[in-house]
Amino acid sequence: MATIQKIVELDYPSELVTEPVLSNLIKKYDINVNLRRASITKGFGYVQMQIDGDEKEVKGALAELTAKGIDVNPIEKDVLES
Amino acid sequence: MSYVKALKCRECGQEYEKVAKYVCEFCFGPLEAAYDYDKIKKDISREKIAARPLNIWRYRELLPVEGTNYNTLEEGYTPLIKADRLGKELGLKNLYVKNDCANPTHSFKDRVVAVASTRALELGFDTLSCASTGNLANAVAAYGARGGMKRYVFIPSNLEKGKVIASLIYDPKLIGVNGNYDDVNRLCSEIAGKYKWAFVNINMRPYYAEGSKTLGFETAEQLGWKAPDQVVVPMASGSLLTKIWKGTQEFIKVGLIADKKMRMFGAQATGCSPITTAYKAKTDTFRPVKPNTIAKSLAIGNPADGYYALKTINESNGGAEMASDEEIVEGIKLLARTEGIFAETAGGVTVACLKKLAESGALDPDAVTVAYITGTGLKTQEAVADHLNQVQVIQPNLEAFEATQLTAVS
Repeated sequence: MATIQKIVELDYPSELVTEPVLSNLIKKYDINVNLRRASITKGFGYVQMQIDGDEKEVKGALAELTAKGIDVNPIEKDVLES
Repeated sequence: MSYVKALKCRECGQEYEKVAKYVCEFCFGPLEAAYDYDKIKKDISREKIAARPLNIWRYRELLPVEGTNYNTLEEGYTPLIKADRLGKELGLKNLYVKNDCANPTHSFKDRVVAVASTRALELGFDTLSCASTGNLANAVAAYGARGGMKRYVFIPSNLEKGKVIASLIYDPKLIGVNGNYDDVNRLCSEIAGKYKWAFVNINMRPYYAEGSKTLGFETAEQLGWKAPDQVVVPMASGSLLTKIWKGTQEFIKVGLIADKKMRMFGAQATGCSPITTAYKAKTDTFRPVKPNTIAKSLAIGNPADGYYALKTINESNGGAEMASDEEIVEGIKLLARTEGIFAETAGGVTVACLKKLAESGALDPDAVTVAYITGTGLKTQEAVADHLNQVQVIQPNLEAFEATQLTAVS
């Protein structure tokens, strides 16, 4: 399986701010996570990070974040324009 | 020759070579073109610009390309009309409308794609690409054809046939993607990362976005080499508003116009208003939204330049408004009825927000005001089709015509 790198932004709902989401993710998947920017308050969380690993692990980790209710978007944000 | 020194990170200032790159390796901030303004100031003049063809390339020193082999369909230098009838209805004494429906594929996207495709050809790309539901697809398909490039255009698979004709005619590879809006976004980001294509609003974004500055340049030139006092701009990604501002500031910086405090006002649809919502909440924190509006051309729920648009609005002492679907339709009709311009839904948003901003007193009624109409209504006729007067069918005789009493109303 090929190693891949993704740069993504995460938008957390307020109920997940107190949960160690990324810590749990790193324990579960064989990935490297490099946080570059984050803003976390009582009401929401916003994180920009790089994630590296085998394609299966990276995709699994990102799918799990989505399943938890975190909005996972590419760093370039919305590219589908009129 | 180019006056662009480098690509520079908007956040940390890190500089990069002028290649197809859009995000800073260090802080993930967006990259944009950085110019040698001292040199431009020495070389540029009103007379020099005025002697050039009436297209965006008359401002070549301030555009991010190297040579003069432009991939052009003569985009730009669209009409700036004094909108006295609309102004009278809204209580604005010095209102102008910048009509970008007059571009080759009938929207402002021709400006950005002309710049992106020119730069792509300079960098040796043979393929131009984008993800779009309308105007951008048309422009990429057309400008790619003009430049002899292969073209890959991604659209949601459920897009109405009528909307793809204006792209299909240029014979691009048109790919309909199953799934929702987010699925199309994610796939296109993945494709842009894998294939060595010029994806106009991804890896070519630093060049692409600069094309929008020409709206600011033209407005100043058409007003007799002076900036307007206040402008109202539709916001999707937020890039257009920031670039009209940047273009105007550049004109001041290189001495083409006098310094002026121009106020920037942004317009969004209520069904997709992350920037206006953040403005009204007095926060710089954005939350992505799921678009639900008839203004499809502004339906960007997670705007790439939202933060910068908001910053520009605040720094210029401007504002932001939003309009409901009903108000958008009324805005389209108002502009058409008063000034003879049939705008797409984004234009309806602009006019509806212009009206609200005038009514609330946010806009100075005496100031020189410019509203930007970025695309033609002929592409989005379904938005207004059910809201218009119907055809009155009569028998072919004078009595039948007079019986309609149409001559009684003017």
